Amino acid sequence: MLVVDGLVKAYPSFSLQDVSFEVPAGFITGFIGANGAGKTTTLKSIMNIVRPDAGSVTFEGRDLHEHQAQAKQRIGFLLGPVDFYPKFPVRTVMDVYRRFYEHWDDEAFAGYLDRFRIDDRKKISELSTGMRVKLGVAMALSHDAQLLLLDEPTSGLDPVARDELLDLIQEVVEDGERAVLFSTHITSDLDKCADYIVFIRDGEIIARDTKDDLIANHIVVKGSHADLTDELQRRLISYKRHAYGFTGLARTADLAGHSGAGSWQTEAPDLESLMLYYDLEEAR
Amino acid sequence: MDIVIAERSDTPIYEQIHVQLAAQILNGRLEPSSMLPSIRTVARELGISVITIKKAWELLEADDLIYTRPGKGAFVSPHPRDGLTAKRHTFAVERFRHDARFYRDLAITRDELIDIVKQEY
Repeated sequence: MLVVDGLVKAYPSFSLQDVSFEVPAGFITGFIGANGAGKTTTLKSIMNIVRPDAGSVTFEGRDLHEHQAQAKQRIGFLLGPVDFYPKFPVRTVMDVYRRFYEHWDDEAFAGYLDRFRIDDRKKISELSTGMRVKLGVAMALSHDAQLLLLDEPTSGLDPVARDELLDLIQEVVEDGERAVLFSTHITSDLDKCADYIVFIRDGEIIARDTKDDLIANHIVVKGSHADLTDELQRRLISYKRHAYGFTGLARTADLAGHSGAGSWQTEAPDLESLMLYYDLEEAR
Repeated sequence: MDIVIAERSDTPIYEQIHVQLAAQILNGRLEPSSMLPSIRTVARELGISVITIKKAWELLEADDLIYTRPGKGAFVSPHPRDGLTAKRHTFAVERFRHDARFYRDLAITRDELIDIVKQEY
């Protein structure tokens, strides 16, 4: 549905370098990376809010930047909770907003407000953060967006609101037609529900794969200081020592055939440990 | 159909689903020829990735426990028990290997373990 190819954007102190990935219909793609790694810049470059120096973005088979007006009718882009016109009631703001969209569906929007228990007589500023995120998703779905680009939608939400939002996102892709790209540094949101993961570090994509394969291709290693031989160190992506031993991350293939004389143990990583140890690798 | 996911387990989620459904097919709780819910429905209900569920379904299909009809969905095999003796054995061995580490850590001897099995099973 969305193909990002070779995006480059240079800033004095930071640059996106050849960022390429795909967001397929019917799936949730998680976009992970530390704060400042380039997640928001990438999303803004996709939407041409930041003008990339090079690269292309194709949406539904056509160049998104060339056919920007039509494409944006079919994309819901949420840069955090809804925060425009905070002093106006939801109802008033929506009366303006709906006019930008050819396929705005009043009935669907009313349905979402009802479901999220959002009172449209309230001012935007009176809604909780969770409500304002859900309002944004409701707006996107009501103008028939086929692609949702969500930038850190769960930050600032309590566990209940997060859970509701994740349920909603899964519902969006259930029919197999729509796609979600979900950027976050709170990777536990994606541990269960993401189908694909795109991992950005310092402006560079360092992994893009199905979440299951990404997890299966890495392994967490834990052991005593004596276990951490030079040989094992070379096979680890990175590691951390603590008072009673070490914890590290390896590519599963790099550890194959290295049974180790020691007593170290292995376990499956979660997305958080992948992010943590890849960042450590860079810091080394 | 029951599926209970242990998120912090080191057994991948698709394998947990595979083993649980395999057991329910083998013990007859999921009736031969009955239809399974769609992958996307199960994914949403459990809050689990579509690809993970799909993988579990593929493993069940590889075991000949289910079959899929394009456009219609997945169904429990009419005779799931056929040819499954070997698979049951594999599941049990895999589980035991996992547990064996725990017994070793407790320094349980082979004879002790055999006694435990005789008593408890």
